Amino acid sequence: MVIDKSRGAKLFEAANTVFLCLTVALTLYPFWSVLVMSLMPYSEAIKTSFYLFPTRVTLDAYRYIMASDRLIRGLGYSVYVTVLLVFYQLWITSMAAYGFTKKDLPGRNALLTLIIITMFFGGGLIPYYLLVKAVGLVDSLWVMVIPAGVNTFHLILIKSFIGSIPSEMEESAIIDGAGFFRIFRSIIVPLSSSVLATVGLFIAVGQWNNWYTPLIFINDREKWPLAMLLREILINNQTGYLQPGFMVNRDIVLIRSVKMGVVIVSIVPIILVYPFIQRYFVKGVMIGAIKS
Amino acid sequence: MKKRMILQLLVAVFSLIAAQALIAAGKGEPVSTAQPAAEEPVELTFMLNADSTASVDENSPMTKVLKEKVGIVPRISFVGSDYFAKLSVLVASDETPDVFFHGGIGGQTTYEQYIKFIKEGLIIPISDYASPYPNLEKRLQAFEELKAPQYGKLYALPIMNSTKIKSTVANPHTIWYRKDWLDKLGLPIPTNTDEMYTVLKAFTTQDPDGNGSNDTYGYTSMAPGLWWFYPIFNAFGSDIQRFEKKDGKWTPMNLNEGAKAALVWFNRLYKEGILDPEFMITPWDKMIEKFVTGKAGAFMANSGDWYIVLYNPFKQVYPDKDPKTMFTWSSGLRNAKGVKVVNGFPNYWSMTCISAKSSEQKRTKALEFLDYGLSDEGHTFLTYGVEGVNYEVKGGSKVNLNPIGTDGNPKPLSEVDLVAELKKFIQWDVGVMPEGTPNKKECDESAYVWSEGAKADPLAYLFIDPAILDPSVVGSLWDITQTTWTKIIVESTNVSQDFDQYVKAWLVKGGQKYIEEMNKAATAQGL
Amino acid sequence: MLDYLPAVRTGQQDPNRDRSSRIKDASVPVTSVKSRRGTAADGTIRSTPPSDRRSRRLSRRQTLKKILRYRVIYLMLAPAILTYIVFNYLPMYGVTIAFKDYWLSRGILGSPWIGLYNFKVILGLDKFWQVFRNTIVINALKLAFVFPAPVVLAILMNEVRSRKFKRTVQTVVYLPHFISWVVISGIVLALLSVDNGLVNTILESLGGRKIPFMIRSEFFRPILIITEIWKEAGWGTIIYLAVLCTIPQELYEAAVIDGAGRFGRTLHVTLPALTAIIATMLILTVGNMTIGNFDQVLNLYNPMVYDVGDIIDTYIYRVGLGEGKFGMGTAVGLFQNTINLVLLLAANNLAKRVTGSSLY
Repeated sequence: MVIDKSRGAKLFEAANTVFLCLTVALTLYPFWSVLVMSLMPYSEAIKTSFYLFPTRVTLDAYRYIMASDRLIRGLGYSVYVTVLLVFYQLWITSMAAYGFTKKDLPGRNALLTLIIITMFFGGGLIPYYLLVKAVGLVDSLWVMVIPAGVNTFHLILIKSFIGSIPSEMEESAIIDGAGFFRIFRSIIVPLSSSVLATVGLFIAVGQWNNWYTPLIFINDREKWPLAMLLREILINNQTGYLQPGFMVNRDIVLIRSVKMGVVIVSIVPIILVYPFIQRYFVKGVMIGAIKS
Repeated sequence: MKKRMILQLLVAVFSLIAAQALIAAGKGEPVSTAQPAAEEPVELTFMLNADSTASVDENSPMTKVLKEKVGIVPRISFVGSDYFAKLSVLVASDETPDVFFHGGIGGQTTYEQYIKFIKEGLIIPISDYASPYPNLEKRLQAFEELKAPQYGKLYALPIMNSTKIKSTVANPHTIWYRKDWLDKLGLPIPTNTDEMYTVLKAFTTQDPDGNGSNDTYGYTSMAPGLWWFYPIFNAFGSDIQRFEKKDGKWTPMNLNEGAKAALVWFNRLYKEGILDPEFMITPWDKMIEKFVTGKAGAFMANSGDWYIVLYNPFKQVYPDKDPKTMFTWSSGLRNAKGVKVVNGFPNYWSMTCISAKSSEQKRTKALEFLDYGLSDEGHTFLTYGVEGVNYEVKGGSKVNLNPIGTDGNPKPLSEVDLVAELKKFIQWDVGVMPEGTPNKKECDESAYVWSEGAKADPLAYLFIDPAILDPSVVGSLWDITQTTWTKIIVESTNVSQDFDQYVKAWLVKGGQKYIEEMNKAATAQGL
Repeated sequence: MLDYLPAVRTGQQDPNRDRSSRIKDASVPVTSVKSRRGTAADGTIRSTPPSDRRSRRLSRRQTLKKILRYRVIYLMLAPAILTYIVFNYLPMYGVTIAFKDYWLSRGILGSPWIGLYNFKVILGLDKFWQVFRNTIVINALKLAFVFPAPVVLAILMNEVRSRKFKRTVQTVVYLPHFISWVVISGIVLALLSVDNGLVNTILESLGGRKIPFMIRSEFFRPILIITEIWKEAGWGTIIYLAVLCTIPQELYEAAVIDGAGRFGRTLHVTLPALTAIIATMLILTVGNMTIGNFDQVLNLYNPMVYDVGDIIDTYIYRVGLGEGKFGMGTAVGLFQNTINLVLLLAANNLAKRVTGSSLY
């Protein structure tokens, strides 16, 4: 970090710190109130609209959420498909991204155009379902991995990043006689660690919270990942009161805290994993390489 | 090196999947399983628009009974959100569930879908197959008038709301009031709009919750607001959407003088701070909160089982008071002539369809199941479960034997045994709560308490070909009503003028055509 | 002042590009071919002269050589391309639903064509153009205010000296991203409510009058913008921070030696390094201009603000054109996405010309 001791610099740093602290407080507030609301009993929660500290704490909401015995299994499945997809999509996408950085590759622009088109036009749910069914992926957890092997947005991100890596890096390796895959593996990937970690995080978060794919494609409830189970609990408690016969067994006093509890339960794993990702946001890896 | 291995592994896996895909695609449609022997229980797939947290158990006590009595093994799937997306996807890929839930002819969107299902031959005309099944036939007879909009047959079993209702239409709603406030202020439950005004104004200005601050609204509602105001429009001789016959012609009631009068009434309520200014954005659970915490004194919602919906929060928030003394329901509004008039709704909500694509054996079994569920024995079974396991009979009444749930009461059957959810295909039993339900008496009493003077929608089942008048036009007309009227209530300084402008706009933006087509269709059907 | 660039500027002085253009120069004089193969004054098209044929044969051979040279690259592209073909292009025929009267039982291929009927109905809806305009305006406002927020935030976070503080900020700001709009709307409603909402309580205590924020049109769009920043700005910093952390230290040091202050460093080191990623994200955002944030609007709007807040997606949903009307739904999507694609390509071209970097 460049140390700048001038007075203007100190002023800036102070202002920046204050601003960031304010940002932290403002972004923490909604999350904090969600946490507090998940822990407060109904009678306390409705007394106030501004939540700082719970006057009384109850774990009823969490007990209700955890009551489903399928939750642990769902958790296991979620971890499984998330880890799988992160590696699978990162591999396929980063390889392709590297390939696309070769600007004189014959057919490159045509292929890229076709890929970008898929961001805008698609066949819709029914043809997609029929295809997935034909491929044999319906009712299998693989449906959350195989078709998700590519994501155009991530492809573009990684490609943009790799494209900014100085070509000297590659050139020296090419002179040494290294093949493209070797270059990819030993040079590109290590240098792209921060964008790969970032995209990996995006993939993980998307997959972890994906309830739509299991809803449509996995009929067997025993195979549902966590996101789908949580959503079921949520919908269970949000709707149904305006239709005959749907209620009786729902305890309205739990609704609010359960809604919040579901948010907390789905975010806790991300909070636990995120610090490990931060490690990859390392600075200045390129220094040594440029010198050569 | 390791990374190369991983890559190779992934490529191998990927190619395996791709290979499998090609093979599967080449195989074509899976061969349907041979008909099982007649003694073997038949597997039936059921799909419900609901959620359940109970687990699937092949050997649950209720499943065993079904195997015995009806000879089926149910495979129940629940789809809470995106029900129709899932249903379409299954139908398109030839996996239609044997028995499934559908909105049927209630509601614009579902009506269109349902008619299309009929045209495509996706569901069987149940009324044609009902004769061997006495209970089924008897139930279908209660819904004769639904045959007209379904090409003269019943293509689905209407799921009856309540056996409490003897006529064909009833009103399942009510206005809930803070009873303790009424008692404190010495006011009776309102029976017409003038009395309502008096009571609501008193709620607002006389600080009935005694907390010293003027922070109460007489009346509130839930998002998006306007629909739930319909009974007041009815009391003024109008309605938000329906038609009336005037001088031999069908005209929309939302354009008549009664509508204007009702809007004047609401506008006044809003101006005087009696109507909650956020009535159009308050979610339903927040609305209940306002009622319970004393921010609002009255609101409109379902009657019947909503008693329990309100009971528990009151109990929690005021542990030393008896909730029964704190809130109560009302029983309908009289119009200017002193007669109770209110929209009536048919005695069913949604319908049960049997897929025409299922094998004949499965279809027969499905009909058998419906017949069983409609029988007295079947009804008891689906409501209470298995005797000795889920309930026992003590001294002539049934006692719930299920484990205790989070609210301190025995769990309801559907949380214990998934099969109980199948009752949702048969009937809802509003106003006929299972024995042993807490507050059963009040639930049953309040259910359908507004049904006096309930009138059916005379043009309920008029079906207009979408090619002539797309239902989205009707949708957008309702949208105009909702938006404009909400604005009039909140902002208007000259209701009469703004209303007249609204009438003009409504007619111009498709309303005129709508009226014409409705009249044409009505004449064609002899209405 | 010179811009301080990493050894190679993103996208521009790409030696690959230079190399390929050098190769091109060696093979075919492009301009001369064009001028010779033209129409004569009398309108006849000349046949291609022999030197052109030879040069085209040469370039074809060059291409084949390149394909051979790049064969490993093609292999590396293969899994992705295969996935796109199977899962994106094979089902693509479903787009035709927009032009058909779809019968579930007949399948897409067996359903009859109805041409532009669906489009006529949709575009003829009473409020369609109003909500179309709303969608564009709201997205334009978001482009102006929501888009820069994570960039600014990331730059400011990057300037923090204490690693611990930086880490803490990073770990907290992304949290609201995970809260659904249903929950956020509850929080916002509680904050802005006319009765004991926090904001109004403060307003009153300061001597002002209570304002019913949620039901007045003039506040709705700002509410949309502010809540979106609140929810997404923190999460959005992640990608920018990932790029920022790759800026070599020497660049900053060199700038300092040249006498650049903090602001100068930001202007000449930080921002240029971010150009490519900002351009990319900007292009992608523009390529989404006709599609609104359905979840957000649905949970925050109400009849009083439909005139400014209703977007295409919520209007279609409300008027009942969603469920079951596959043709209509697909038609709306097609309409929106065609415009989006055009906008994306335009933005891409513009970005290429202005900054030299683009999507492709």
